Amino acid sequence: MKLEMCQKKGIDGIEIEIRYELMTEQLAHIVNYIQQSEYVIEGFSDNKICYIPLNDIMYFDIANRKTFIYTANNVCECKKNILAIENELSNTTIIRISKSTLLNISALVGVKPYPNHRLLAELHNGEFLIVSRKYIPALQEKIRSEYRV
Amino acid sequence: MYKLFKTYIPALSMSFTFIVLYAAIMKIANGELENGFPYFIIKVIGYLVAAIIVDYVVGKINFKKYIYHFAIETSALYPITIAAAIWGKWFSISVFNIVWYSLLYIIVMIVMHYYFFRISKKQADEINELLKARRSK
Repeated sequence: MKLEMCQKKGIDGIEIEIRYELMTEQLAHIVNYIQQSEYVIEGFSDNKICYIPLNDIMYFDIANRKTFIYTANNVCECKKNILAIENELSNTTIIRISKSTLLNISALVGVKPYPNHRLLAELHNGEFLIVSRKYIPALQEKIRSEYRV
Repeated sequence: MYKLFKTYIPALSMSFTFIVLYAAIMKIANGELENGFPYFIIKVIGYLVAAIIVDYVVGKINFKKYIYHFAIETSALYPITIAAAIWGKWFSISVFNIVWYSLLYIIVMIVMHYYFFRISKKQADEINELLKARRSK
């Protein structure tokens, strides 16, 4: 793979051109990653608006009826409810893993058995989240479909 | 092997329960109560319902390890099991019987928890394999 980078003055935003002969899984993954980086979620931290790229988000969670965005080292409040976020990001790597949590599978390191037919998901930053029994097949399918992209 | 655990054992258990329960209900309905079998089955079902309630309540706790869940559930259900067995006259009260049935109870709990752990482990392994494949792309 040859990487060519060119700085041009006066262009509007970043332009990415990929030349390829065959669409491989690896290339599809890169395309998916680039497309996903276009998703930016609006959050609020200390009454200031912050825009968080989807690739930086590890999970969304509800606490005290508020939705929070968790990155590796930051937490922001999100004004949208979890269902709206889930619908909006259904074509990305975001998947619901419990009634109150949406996980970015890009942040997932692995899972292990957890009592009551649930799974314990380990994230890149060492945090753990519980995957409810109801959402395990969907999580499995999401990772599988990501693999197939 | 996976099909045995995921399909055949649950199917066998459900079929057995329904057949025995149906037989007990039919015997009660027909007034065939002489050997006490229908009452025994109803008592067992009552005990199992109590066990499910205990499992449900213990399941609400987020344990750090699988083994803690096993230990708490086994301890919580133990007095209920022994009380049900004595009240239901499932065995005569003696030190030997209590020790023997306590051991049986612990073995059954180990087998059941191990069974569900294996199913969960299999599920986790499948997901971890997919994640590994995804990372190696």
